[in-house]
Amino acid sequence: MAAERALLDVQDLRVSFGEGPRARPALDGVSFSVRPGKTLAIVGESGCGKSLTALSIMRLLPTPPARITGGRILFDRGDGPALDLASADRRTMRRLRGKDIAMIFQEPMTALDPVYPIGDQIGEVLVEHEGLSRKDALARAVELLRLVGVPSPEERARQYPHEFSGGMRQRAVIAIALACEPALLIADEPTTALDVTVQAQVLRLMRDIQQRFASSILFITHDMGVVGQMADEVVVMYLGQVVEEGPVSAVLSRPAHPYSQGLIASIPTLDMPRDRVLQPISGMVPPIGSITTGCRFRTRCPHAMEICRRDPPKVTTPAGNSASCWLVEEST
Amino acid sequence: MSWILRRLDAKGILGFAILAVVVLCAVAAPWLSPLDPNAQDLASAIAPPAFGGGTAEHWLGTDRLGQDVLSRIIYGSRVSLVTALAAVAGSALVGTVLGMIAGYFGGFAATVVMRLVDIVLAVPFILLALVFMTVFGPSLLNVIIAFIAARWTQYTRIAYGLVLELREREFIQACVAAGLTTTDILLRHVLVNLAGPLLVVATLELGFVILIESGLSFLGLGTPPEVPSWGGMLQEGRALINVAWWLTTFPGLAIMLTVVGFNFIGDWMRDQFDPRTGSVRPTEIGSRD
Amino acid sequence: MRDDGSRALLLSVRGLAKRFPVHRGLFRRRAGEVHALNGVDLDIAPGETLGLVGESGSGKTTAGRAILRLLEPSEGLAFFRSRTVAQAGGPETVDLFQAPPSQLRLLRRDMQIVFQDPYSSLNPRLRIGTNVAEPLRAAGMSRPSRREMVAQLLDDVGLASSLMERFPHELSGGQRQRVAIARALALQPQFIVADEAVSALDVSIQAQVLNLFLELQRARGLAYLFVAHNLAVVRYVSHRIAVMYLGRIVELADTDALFAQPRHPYTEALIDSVPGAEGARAVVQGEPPNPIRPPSGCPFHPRCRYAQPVCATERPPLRQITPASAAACHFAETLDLQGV
Repeated sequence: MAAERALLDVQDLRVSFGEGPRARPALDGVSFSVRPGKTLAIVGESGCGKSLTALSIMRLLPTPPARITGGRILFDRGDGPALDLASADRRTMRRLRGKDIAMIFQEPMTALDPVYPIGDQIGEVLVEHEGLSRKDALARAVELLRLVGVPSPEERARQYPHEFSGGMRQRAVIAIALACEPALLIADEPTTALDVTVQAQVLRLMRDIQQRFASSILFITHDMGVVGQMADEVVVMYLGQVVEEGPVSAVLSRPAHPYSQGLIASIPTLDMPRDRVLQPISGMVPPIGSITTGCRFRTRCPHAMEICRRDPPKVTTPAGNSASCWLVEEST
Repeated sequence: MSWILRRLDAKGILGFAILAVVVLCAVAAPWLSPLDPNAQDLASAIAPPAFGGGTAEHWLGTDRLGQDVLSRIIYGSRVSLVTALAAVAGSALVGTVLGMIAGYFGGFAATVVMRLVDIVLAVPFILLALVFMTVFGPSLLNVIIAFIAARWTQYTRIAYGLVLELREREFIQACVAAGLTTTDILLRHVLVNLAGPLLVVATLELGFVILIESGLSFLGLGTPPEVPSWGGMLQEGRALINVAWWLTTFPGLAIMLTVVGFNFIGDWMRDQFDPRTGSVRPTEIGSRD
Repeated sequence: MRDDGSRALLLSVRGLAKRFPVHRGLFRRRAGEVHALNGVDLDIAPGETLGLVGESGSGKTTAGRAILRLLEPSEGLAFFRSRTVAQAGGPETVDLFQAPPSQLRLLRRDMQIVFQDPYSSLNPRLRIGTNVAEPLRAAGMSRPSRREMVAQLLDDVGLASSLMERFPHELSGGQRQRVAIARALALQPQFIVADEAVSALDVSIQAQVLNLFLELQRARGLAYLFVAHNLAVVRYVSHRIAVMYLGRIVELADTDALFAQPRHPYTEALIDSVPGAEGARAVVQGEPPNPIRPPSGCPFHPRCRYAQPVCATERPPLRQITPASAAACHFAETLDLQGV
């Protein structure tokens, strides 16, 4: 990974909720990088901080109470040194959002403005960032709708969000995100609100688009199946930390961290033997800020030991995935 | 009780303090008031307040009949409080029951109730009260009835909207599935979820009723003259406003302070029940992904 | 499918239909009806789980609620073998849809529901103990025995009985769902409708709750109607599965048969759509149609890649294809559909 320059390099990112002694760390030293033209998936359960990571990169954190307290978010624009988004000013961020980095949200209905036609909403981004005239922007919007597989785009561009079905709305949202051909696309659970057959269509669309534009995708999801289908690399998060990362095939087939193992063992799949009993992780995710030292997973880990009270080292396995766990070191 | 104390802010403290003073006046009027409010002393009529050149016998001065203004204000709190509490309790009861029925059963019941609300809201309240008092004669009871007849709509509208939303919530469905009777569901499950917002409305209504009751008394449509009331005092003092400013100023201040007090409490309660400004649960922060 | 006469069925639904009026325009005039459910037949044996899968608008949720009479069905019969009614001297089987209110009250003890959203399925202003005890109170149990029973129920679903004194907002989503299950179990029902009961939960919690459902079934002989959109979840818990599309059952088969050899193209499309590492399988076109304007003929034909002219004109009935599966497709015997 070192040879190639990363498009996005998140280093030791820290985000806290609240101020002073009552501040609770929601992201606690998160590091990962997204390579050009690749898809990195962040996977984890509620409260692990995956959406917070996406919002930090976009600098859309609800401030207050959330605040970036440390780390760097290096974004390579291809000209000169990488830009640190963690400390970039509002103007820089505004110019970046929608142009270099675009975001696709979970709820297509709330991501669209109900009072403007779809075409205008796509065109608006182009008028803002590319300086296109309204007429040119609208023509380009029709092209984009065609690209994302919306049938009869000329008519559809004049329609309002409520006239679109759920799947078509998400396609429109993707069209807006693609308008300026951003280098990085952040997708936060983009198919969770969709029906399964429509989810399959949207996932395929995103895959096609990535190949066509060679863009990078940061894909946030809770669904291991989606990870397997979409991602090249995966980051597993638990309680504000990265517990494991690596190539998708390695992490899914040979998870090294007990949390990743537990996560995979608790998901029913279509090809598992019918008589196999799921092995859920015991207990539940503790509140943010309740465990601030050592391995955060130790309260639920079946292999927890005394040493787990100390921060675990990050160890890379022969398969190529690296996990932060005392046990992994022993086995290699 | 302790949780109330812990959450009190400046507005809440001020509101409850004012309320405490008014309630104390109403309950302990015979002991607190220096003189009999109806004792006439024509010799010392229209005496200015003690600090405005008058005597210490009448702190806030006397009126045209020589009755002590301070004592009448203290006794006047009784009329204001009793009217307000009775009118608000009555309208809250009527309005909540109708709103719950309309919201839960929908259909014809909802059409009838909500059209009635529209009609009542279309009639100006003062007009309604004027007609009512002219027909039935001015009395404390009729003032209260007039309030109930007009103000139940406030609770009905809010209860109706909330019940419409609650009815679809799954815990109500679970109650139906568990075989609870409709009365049980309405009283044990729907009402508890309405209580907060309706209490806020009721508190704000208390202030409103006091204000309007004073207005009615001022117009001579409220309480009979022998019963000391703030509005009645204003009415009597109106003619002498150029010679005896204290006859209108002090009852006016009493009305204003009491209304402000109730509004402060109402605002404070609204903050408490509003999930965005109320007590934020720590587990909810950061559970957005 | 099982031979109909061989086992006494717990529930037998025939011709279930549910229509909702559609209002349009300035004066909210009744403009027509949506057929949310259209001639649904299904059987559930004691101790059996029937999975009900489908996308939005398929009517799966409506079916569960209509069977429990949380929604009044428009048409149909539902014969239920009620223990409580029989004990009270009533007939051995009752038609749920014809039951008068007094009998329905008794029937409610035998059939319960667990909802999707653990945040809205508990009364936020009542303590956990009170929430769980409501069905017991309605059944006339005294306060001390209610308390004892609630403690036992919480223990049965893997919660500490000390949670009784807490309020719903103090519990996590998984804990709340366990509370909702405890409440459903309170009257010792024979039959539970689980309406997307695990879809709002995180995967590790979801597995815990799924296993809880299975344990409770083993321990108490419960029958489930397990409504869900996640195929893998339904496969994990169900003995048989009904696939719904636009208010109708398009395939009804034993779980193994359904996945080994689907008999309806829509079932194949659902299996194809499950995201996974392969990801190379065919993607079905279009979206579930609006039930207000259902297509002619077979409801799936506009999206079906095997559609023939006949599919647009004639609606195929659900018919037995093999002993293990029934499907509503003109070409169920000849198509070679891909399973897992």
